[in-house]
Amino acid sequence: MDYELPTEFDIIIVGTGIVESIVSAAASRIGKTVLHIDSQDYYGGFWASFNLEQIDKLCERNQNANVDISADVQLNEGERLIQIGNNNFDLKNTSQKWSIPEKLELKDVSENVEGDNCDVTETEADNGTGTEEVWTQEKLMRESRKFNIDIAPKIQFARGDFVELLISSNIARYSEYRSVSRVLTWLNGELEVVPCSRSDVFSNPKVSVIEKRMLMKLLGACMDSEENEFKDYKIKTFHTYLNDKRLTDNVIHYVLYAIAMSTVDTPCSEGVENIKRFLNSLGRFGKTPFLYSMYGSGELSQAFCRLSAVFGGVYALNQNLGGFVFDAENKFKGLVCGKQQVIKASHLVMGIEKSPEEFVKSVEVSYISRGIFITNGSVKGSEKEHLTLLFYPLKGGRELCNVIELGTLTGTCPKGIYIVHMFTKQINTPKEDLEECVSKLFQSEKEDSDVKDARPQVLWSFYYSAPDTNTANLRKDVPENAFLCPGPDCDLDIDYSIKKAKEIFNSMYPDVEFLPRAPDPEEIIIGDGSDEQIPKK
Amino acid sequence: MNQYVNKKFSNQYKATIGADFLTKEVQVDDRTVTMQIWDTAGQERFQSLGVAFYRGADCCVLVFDVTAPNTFKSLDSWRDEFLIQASPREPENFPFVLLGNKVDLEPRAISTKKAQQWCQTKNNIPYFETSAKEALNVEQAFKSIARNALSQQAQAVDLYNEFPDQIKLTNTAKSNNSGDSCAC
Amino acid sequence: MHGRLKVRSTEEQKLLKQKEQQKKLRAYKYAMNQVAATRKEIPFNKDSLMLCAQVLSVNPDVYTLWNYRKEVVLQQLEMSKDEEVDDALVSFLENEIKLTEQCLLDNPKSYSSWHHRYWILQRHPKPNWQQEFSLITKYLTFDDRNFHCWDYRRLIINKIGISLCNELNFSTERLNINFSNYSSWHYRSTLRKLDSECLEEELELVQNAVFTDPNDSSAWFYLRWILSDRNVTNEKREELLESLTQLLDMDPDCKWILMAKCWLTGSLSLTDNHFAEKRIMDYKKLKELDPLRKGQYSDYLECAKKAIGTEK
Repeated sequence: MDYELPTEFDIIIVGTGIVESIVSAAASRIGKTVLHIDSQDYYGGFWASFNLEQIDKLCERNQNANVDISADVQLNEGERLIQIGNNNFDLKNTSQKWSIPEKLELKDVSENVEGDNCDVTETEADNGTGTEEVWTQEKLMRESRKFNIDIAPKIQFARGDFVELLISSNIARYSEYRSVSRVLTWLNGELEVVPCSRSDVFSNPKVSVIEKRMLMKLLGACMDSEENEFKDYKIKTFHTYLNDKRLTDNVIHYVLYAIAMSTVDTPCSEGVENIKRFLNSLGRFGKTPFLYSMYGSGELSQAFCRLSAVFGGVYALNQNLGGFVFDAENKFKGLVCGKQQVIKASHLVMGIEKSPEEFVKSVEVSYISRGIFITNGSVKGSEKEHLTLLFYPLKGGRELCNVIELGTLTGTCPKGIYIVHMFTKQINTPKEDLEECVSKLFQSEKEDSDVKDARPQVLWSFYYSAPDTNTANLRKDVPENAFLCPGPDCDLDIDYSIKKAKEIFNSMYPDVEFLPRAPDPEEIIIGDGSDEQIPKK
Repeated sequence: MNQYVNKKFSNQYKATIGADFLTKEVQVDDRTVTMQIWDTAGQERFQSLGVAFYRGADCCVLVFDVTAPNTFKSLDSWRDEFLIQASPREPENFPFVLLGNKVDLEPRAISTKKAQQWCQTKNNIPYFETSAKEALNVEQAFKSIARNALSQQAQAVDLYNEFPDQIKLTNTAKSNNSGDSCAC
Repeated sequence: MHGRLKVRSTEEQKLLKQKEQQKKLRAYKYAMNQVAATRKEIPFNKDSLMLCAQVLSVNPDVYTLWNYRKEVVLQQLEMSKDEEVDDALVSFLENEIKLTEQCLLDNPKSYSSWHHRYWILQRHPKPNWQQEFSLITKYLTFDDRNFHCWDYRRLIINKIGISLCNELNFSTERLNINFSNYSSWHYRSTLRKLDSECLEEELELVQNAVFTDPNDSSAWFYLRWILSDRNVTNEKREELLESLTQLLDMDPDCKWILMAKCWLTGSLSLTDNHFAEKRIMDYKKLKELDPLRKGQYSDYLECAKKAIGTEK
């Protein structure tokens, strides 16, 4: 079906990351004509989820294949054409590794096998090794589409800005969620379940009655946040406060690293705020405050894009973008699509990786060390499948490493497989930064057949450095009617990204409501007069 | 879709802004089934339907315009695209329905026979000739697909239990109060 | 350019709702009249029975309609008295059960629906109590504060007998999820007689609760019930007193802790006067903390003082 793109819009958005998609939905919602366009053939950009085949190729192919500017474009006096996209924000230090054989060797096959029936072969081998599944690259690749691997995994607070926005805008109906069913911490040499809720505290046999009371009182004090309680700790750390309360080491550990999601250096007021945020979201949808999007975080952009489309936004992926047109006053005029077509718009919004080089040359980037692991079991075995969040204190508590473990019920991997995401602020390289955590949670590479190791095995790993562009000033070298959208940040959730999207929206359309609630289908009266043209076929 | 659910028709391509899925109750034998029908919202125009659109689909309605041969030619690729993106458990048995629409217009370019032949090669997809404008056959088409989707459910593993305990934010309940309030 | 989005105003929605309600009221009145007119018919009037079911699905608290249904059921039972196994009767009764299930789905707290269900099962030639048991477990998982469900569970257990282990586990599970629940604790107390072994277990459980939230009254009542058992030794009581004193240090203004201490010192002071002094002090404190019950505490205080008096 060959339609031509319309030639004029109120706003053109290049890139389908979360910030871009939220802006797109908000603009369409208030009746602006939106062209949301991407050179990639998938949604999400640096926030996307990939299946196993795609992520395999992610390192190989040039992440941002920038197209040369088109030669045949008609420009007006004073106008110039500049290339779209840059490589300043590519993933770095990428390193992918398989730790399982490509396929089953002939010697693994039992002698009774007839013919070439692969499935029979594997079942024989399975029976040979007992209840353990024998995974090979080939076997995993066959289930490639069952994988939805995030490159920027996100967890939402049940009462956070994101969830509230989904509900208030009614975009909630486009996606589904699972509750994080347990929060773990590394305590006294092993993984312990963190008692988050009142019922956890009650039923946890490892917490003494006195500790139960201490913990509940502390959480209550943080929630009530009476002036007097914390007044002496305005310039002190939360850790100091907890020590002064003469709580046991275990309670301090649970509170500081897990419930307050802090480090030993976190200021007291911040620790208290974090606890409040944690407790506020507790129990809304489950036993922990956290939610994860079914089928991966890449679904989130698509939910906003759909709302945009429903309100008239035009969507075009996999497009040949031949350049941006700027006039003599450095104002954005239009986008070149394909060989010649110039599409005009009053505003341009783009993901930071889509920006011409000259607008981002002085953007400061910090990096996030990330690791993705495919494993054959949970880091902490249990009867039922869990969605696990672990805050691992690195380097004696100075940094937190965030760990998310996903099982098949999240729709991100096949049965019997787990996906583990790890991320922390980058200090050295991803491998080095995550080493401590990796060595504690997974079986080591070296085979030590004497020692029975109950920990899961890593079948595949992918380390990379992801750019964090959220602390930079993104208005600095950018023309007045063009806006840059930052990529994923180091936070667990995307509330900050929503803030950024709102800022961009308000800059373009001040004093207009941001994503008012979309009506339910039953509330709409159908088909009034409209002067929209039927597109040519 | 408007014709089926609301018994209304409009000539405009994007007749309504803001309508994106419709629900309709349908009787299949002795069961009442609620169908949720999702519109593509125009994202198919430039082949930009994301994988999220296909999640959890129990059936798929393919529509072509009997006066426009290109729309018929693209059916294969749309069916393939659906099966790839939605990855149903049993692709050969997945309930599709083909609608040859706009039979009220002239001149007709795709014959009934041609459409039926295509359907046969796709494991006998039911075919209906429809006119949304004249409310022809629309009801029957949706009833048939509801029936097929239900029969699939009965045979295969209970699909609704594939992901138990999913949370839909649209059913936001108040948080549970753990105080000792009266239960009655 | 876009088509315009037109949404129904709240006024329009209100009018629509009113119209619907009028329709419902007419239907209800019609149904009630029909039932009244045809109630005494033998054989029963099929249309009326159907209308009756429709009304009950919307409002299950119309006792009269359930009574009508019972009358019809008795009729059916009478007719098939001489047959061994009557499939028609069974299918009729199953229908009744289905109706109650439908009603309970919408309103799980309707006395009449629960009653009708049990009433039918008692007269059913082949009642499936196991299925009922699974069903009630499911209901309790959704809402363990529905006392109808707990009562119904007890009824079924009386019919089929229980595995104590299972029920204890079930009770522990419910308490682990939410111990702020009188019904859960009460149920647990009906399961077994306490002996010295399980006493330990129960005391541990209830202490977990009061230390987690000393302001939750349901746990305290369970503790009181435990303490009323003669198997609780004085040694145990002293241990508990010590533990509660520690708790009081952390929550000095919690009246429940003080009350529990008084329960303990009450029994202890029967054999050891030393505890009487403590008791008096605690009651005085209670009067300050809980002035609403000042009179009650004053009474206890008098008794406590008298007890010392007679000793002296």
